[in-house]
Amino acid sequence: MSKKIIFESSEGESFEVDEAVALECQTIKNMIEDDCTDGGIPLANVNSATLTKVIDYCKKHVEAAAAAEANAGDKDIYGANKDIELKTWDEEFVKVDQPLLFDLMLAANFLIIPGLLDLTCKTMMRGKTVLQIREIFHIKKDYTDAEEAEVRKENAWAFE
Amino acid sequence: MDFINNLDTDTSLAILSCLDDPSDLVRASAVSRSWRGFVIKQSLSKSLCLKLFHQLARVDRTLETSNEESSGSISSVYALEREHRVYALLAKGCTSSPIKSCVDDAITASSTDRLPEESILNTLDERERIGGTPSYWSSSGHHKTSVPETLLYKLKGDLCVITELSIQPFQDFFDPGRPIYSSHNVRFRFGHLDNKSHDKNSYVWTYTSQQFPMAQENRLQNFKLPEPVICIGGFVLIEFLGRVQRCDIDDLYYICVTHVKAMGRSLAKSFRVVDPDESGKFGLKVLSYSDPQEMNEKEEEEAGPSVFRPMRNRNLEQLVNFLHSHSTDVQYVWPESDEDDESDEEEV
Repeated sequence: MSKKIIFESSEGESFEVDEAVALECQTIKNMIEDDCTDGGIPLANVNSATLTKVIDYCKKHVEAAAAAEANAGDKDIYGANKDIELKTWDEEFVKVDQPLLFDLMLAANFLIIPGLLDLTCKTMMRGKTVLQIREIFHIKKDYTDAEEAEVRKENAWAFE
Repeated sequence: MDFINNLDTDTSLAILSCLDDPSDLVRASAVSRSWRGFVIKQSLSKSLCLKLFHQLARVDRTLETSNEESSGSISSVYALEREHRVYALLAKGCTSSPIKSCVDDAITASSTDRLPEESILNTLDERERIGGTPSYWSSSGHHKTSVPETLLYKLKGDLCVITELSIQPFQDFFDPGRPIYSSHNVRFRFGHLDNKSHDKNSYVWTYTSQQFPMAQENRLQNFKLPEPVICIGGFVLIEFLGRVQRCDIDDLYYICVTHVKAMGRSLAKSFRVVDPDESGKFGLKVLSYSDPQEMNEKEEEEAGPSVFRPMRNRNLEQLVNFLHSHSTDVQYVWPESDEDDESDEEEV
């Protein structure tokens, strides 16, 4: 029977997870090592919806890592298939609305889950046009058209 | 939420540091004034370059053709803006220029048995024989198998990201035994001309690969570097360690090579390396801010496929090189510790 860790979301809701899953978060790992997780870990800046997703992500990646380790001996295509499967799972995982994605990104940063931070950042920003980034993050354009044209000209290769 | 304007610097930095495509960073810098300011002030494109290729930490200054004169007195804001632009281009070039054959020319061999028939120049051509005559380089013969040989090549450009090198050892079909003159191991060094030395043939090697075992087989053998490596300065030294084949006629060991190839991304049209010193630091001069990918395509059209380029007749020049290298011996400077170096060249 593995040890359990209890998270508490900003709404006060409790989430019980295996220690191995909680260890995916570097921040929590440090707390566990310092032995200050008794009585639950309050996460004042992570809401329940986000925390549910974060736990899903950590669970899946703990399972995948365990499976990969079990198969480490025989180097067949199976290992590669597993990688692809996890990647597909990640892609499905981030098919959520922008606010939740943004909250996930902040939670990943706060809890220090590098894989999730990377995944959410890239989902929000990779390959996006300037216009799309402005929409996603609700940014008001403060350049004049001429200024923006100048900035784009600087590294024109990025705007093709 | 506009995180750059609303969250702390560390969080914004953590978020934008996830972007590993320079195009994304450049687009982020065009979103708004504050985004641009953040990307530039935090040197994100420089960080990306160093993350991709730690050797780029050796760039100690950047230059543009237009402001060379004033580079000492420019304001720090302008300097950061320029760095952003230069490093973004550098990251782009290092990751997305097309991978092509990067060998430009053969410079010299540590020894050559017969000139011009067995010149290093022959290794530029992939053909095993040209008009019935075998085409290869041959070292001079030695009684000891431990005597190493080197071949020195110039690459297409001061900066090339090399991914893989290939060597085809030579098989002598005229000998009844059909011997293949390969070596036990090969190793690669990347570097630049030593511009402080009086000797014109002095080089500084800033990268040394592991040793790769070579098969005694007549085929183009690929040696993939564990990760792509930037050759700073445009010269590649191939070291052949351990002779394996003796020639029955004179009972001496030889190393012979049909073809040498280096695959990678050349940044020749975008950058030039300026004054590399012995510690490996160098200035990076921008030649053009155009898309590195597109320029390479244009060049291709002009030059035509290199396979059909006729071999230059440079035998005389090669002979001069040969005599020169034999009278003075090529000087090499090894700036970094070669911990695995001498110990493993035992006699077989």
